[in-house]
Amino acid sequence: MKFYKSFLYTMGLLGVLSIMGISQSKAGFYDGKDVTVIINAGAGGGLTRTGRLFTTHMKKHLGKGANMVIKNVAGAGGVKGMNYMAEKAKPNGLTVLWGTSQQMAQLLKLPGVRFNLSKIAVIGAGGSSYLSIARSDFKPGIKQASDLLKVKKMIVGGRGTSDGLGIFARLPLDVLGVNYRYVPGYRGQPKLNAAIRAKEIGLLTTGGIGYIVFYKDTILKSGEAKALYYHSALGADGKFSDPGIYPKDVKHFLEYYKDTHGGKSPTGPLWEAYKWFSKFNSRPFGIYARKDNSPTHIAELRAAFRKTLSDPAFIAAWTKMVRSAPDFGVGKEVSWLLTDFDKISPGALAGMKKLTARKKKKKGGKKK
Amino acid sequence: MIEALLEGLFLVFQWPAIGFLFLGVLLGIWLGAVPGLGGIIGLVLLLPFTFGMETVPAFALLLGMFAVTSTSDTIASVMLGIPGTAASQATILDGYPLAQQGKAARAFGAAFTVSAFGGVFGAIILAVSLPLILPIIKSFASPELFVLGMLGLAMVGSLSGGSILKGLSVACLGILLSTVGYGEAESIPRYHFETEYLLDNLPLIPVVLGLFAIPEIMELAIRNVSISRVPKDQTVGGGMLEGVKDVFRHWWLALRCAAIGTYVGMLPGLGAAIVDWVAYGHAVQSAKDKSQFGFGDIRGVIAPEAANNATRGGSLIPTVAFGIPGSLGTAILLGALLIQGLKPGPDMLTSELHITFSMVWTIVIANIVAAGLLMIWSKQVAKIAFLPGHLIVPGVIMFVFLGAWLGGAALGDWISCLTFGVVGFIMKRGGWPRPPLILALILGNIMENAFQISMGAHDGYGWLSRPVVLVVLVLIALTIFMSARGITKNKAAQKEVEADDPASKARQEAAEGGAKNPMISLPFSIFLFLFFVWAGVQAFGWPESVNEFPIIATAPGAIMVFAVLLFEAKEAAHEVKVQGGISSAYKIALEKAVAYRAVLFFGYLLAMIIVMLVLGQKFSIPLFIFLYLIRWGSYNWRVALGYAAGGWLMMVGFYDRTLDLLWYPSWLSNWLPELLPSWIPVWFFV
Repeated sequence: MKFYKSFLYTMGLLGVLSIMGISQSKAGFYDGKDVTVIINAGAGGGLTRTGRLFTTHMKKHLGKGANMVIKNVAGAGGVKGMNYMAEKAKPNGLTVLWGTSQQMAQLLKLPGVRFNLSKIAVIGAGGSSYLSIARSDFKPGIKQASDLLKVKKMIVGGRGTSDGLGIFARLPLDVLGVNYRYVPGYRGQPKLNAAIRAKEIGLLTTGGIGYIVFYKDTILKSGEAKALYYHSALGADGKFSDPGIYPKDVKHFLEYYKDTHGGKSPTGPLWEAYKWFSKFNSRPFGIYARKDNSPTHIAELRAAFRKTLSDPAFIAAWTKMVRSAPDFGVGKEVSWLLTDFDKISPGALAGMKKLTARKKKKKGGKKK
Repeated sequence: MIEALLEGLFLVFQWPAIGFLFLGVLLGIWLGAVPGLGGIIGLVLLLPFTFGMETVPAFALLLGMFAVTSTSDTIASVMLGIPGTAASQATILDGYPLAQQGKAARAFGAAFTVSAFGGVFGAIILAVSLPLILPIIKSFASPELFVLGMLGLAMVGSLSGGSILKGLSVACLGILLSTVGYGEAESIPRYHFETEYLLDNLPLIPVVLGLFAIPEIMELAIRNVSISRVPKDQTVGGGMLEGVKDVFRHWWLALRCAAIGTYVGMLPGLGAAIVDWVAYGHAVQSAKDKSQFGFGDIRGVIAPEAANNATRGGSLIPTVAFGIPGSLGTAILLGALLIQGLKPGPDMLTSELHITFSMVWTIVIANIVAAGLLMIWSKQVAKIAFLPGHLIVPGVIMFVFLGAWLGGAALGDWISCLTFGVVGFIMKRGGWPRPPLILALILGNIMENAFQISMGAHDGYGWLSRPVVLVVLVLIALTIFMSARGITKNKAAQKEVEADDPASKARQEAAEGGAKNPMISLPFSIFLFLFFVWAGVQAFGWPESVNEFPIIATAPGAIMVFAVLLFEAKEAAHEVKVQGGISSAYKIALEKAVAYRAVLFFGYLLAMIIVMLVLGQKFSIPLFIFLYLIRWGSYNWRVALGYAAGGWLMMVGFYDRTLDLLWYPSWLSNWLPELLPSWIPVWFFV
């Protein structure tokens, strides 16, 4: 009984102290509220890291005592997380998604897509470039970027079939005419990092942050892998931007193609698809919410997003981690990402469909 | 290297790092000890506080907390038979029987000593084997991870309980349950019964707590016993010092298991989840006398506890050196590393080696400090084993249901917890081992992912011929064969012992998966068989990318359950014959299972959920505590009211104000805020 009494006293004291120490006032909608932030990628990957960092600062601007709680819903290249928000989240202003926006998945009506992006609002979105790298010892050996064209059958790893990493890993190979087998299912860059080191895959594509964090000073520096080409945003002037974070000898995919094809530019539906994807994937991640949330809540979320971008503490923390300044658009500046993506040319659509067509099984159980 | 080693130690002992380390240890002890919390929640809660901190203090706080949750989770495993975390499942097999024999203090003594030992030796083994780490990681790609998962399941299926067929069938059930919700390759939902809750995967914590905690707590409630079935004055050799001596007696086993923990912990993806079973399996296989495993053999506590603490260090190095996290916890730590501006890579083993060593030292010091503190406190904790069960039940039920709620904050979490409480009760009474279900539920998603990648990357089943895969497959076959032989030998020996010692039969029946009650087990096996068949038929209608894995689980599951069913039918027929008819056989079986009181207890829990819908948890849980103590425990209203008030304070002070728990939006919460005067906080009530 003595122990029981002590236990009760301790619990009581703990509770009273906790209650006394905290007070709460009621003003804005988000004051003291918990906002669930779905991340449609695995823990430990770039999206989760940036999401944690961003929301840690954003919650300060959202409301007094507001909290943003991360929930990873990884799988199917991000489709699973977007489905989750569209189907499970209540339109009460308390659930948002930090991650990839999944235009490709909807455009191509991929199996399992049950969201409709016309019912999703962009709160804010960030920009990124991509880099494709390959193992140097992949047969017959990739000592220079152009050696990729000598490979008989490349093994390519990625997250899913419709996300940026997967598309930018495969689409250039199709444009180049390099034969490959695609292995989706890696839940993030740490998994892809492990796979390329274990020689399970020969080629992968990483975002700019992943390049700096996982590959720049490791397998690229040691020569275990070779940087092939990068992918960046296609501007209104029809030119691809230079992210400025890759070594000088690593070129944009268009330049790489020209170098290896006697100065000719690529043509055809696959190239059209590449250009379309470079435009609509120029801001590949951000915060999204259901459109049927109250307009006031969406406006408050956007305002908090915008304030975060000018918060010196956020800018310093983001620059420290990502090693480049934050590059984001807010609200209507980037709404076109989800409203115009289906204005795709028939050629580009045909190219995308060809890329993501479901593979059939060969007789004997082997996959094509 | 020596210089970096010493510099790392110096960094940890600097202020404020050492202060944060102690703070982390205290938090870790609390988070590990409370069912349903654990290290991941701790990391998520603490991570934002470290953004503005220096590197070493930040990791002192995070690692200090994370390293010791696998030490303090032993408390729930030993005292309540609930695996505090995935890495402490194997501890319950022998730890809980020791508590039931009044030897909880001995189990704690051994567990905490060996946890410190495992943590320290794991770090030393890690330091001397840094050059081996990369080759080990490189030799484990997706095919190896898939078969390693199979090895884990084979071990837990074979080692927990007296029937390998039952164990492996339950593992198949766990795999099948892991496929509930969106598929891995394509986002097509499986077995979700058109409910939103099941679109996501079945949540682990409510299932673990329901499956293990509720049946064990019910045991205390419906039989009105204390955790220890032996009065305090009759216990022999159950002291803490005895447990410490046990570790020194079995130092070689502890050392081997620490090495297992370190190396298995390095394997990305599933190392941390299976390590305790690999160590437990090793302890059983390498023991000359295996007869006491499962009934309170101290080696069954020493082996997993040495391994699961060593894992923390093992999984840290691949994370910092190569950016390859070995577990969810280390994935979050990787995020912390990057937020600190550090990059995983060779630099962490060369120019930044002192930082890496400061992390290893943090783990070492945290383990020693936690073991010391827990040694001091657990003398008091062990006394709980002798308290009347009715005093323990309401408090644990509160922690169990709030732990279940914590992950998803959905009504489905409580329903899952209660449903798996019923399933766990039937499994316990019917002699079906429960640990395989949990491990399979944890590993199912990882294994499905690894299987699909293996099939894609290796163009079909070519991966089966990889050397490491072949070695692990041989190990799986040996594990099952050796366990089958061990079980047969034990059964023969048991028959001889039972003739001389009737208490031995009772001990056998109390062990995990040891109960013999064919009248309960037979209907359960029929249900399982039909469930497997139904699930298999459903799966055939889905695209190949999402139906492969459910079929892999259902086909062998149905075959093995059918074999169990035939055996149980024979046993049941014999029981009916002995008892003179089916109704009298069932009457006796239900009496043996104390079924009436069990149903009544479930009724109380169901009522608590219904009250929650109307009034919310801050009313329903204290009400349950109050009514339980009055009606079941026959305590006076003062005790009941005091206990209920303590529970309410814990909910408001810790779960609401500290963890920011999102409570159920009850009917009361719709209008109470409007009625309350502004000076009374709403969060007092809803």
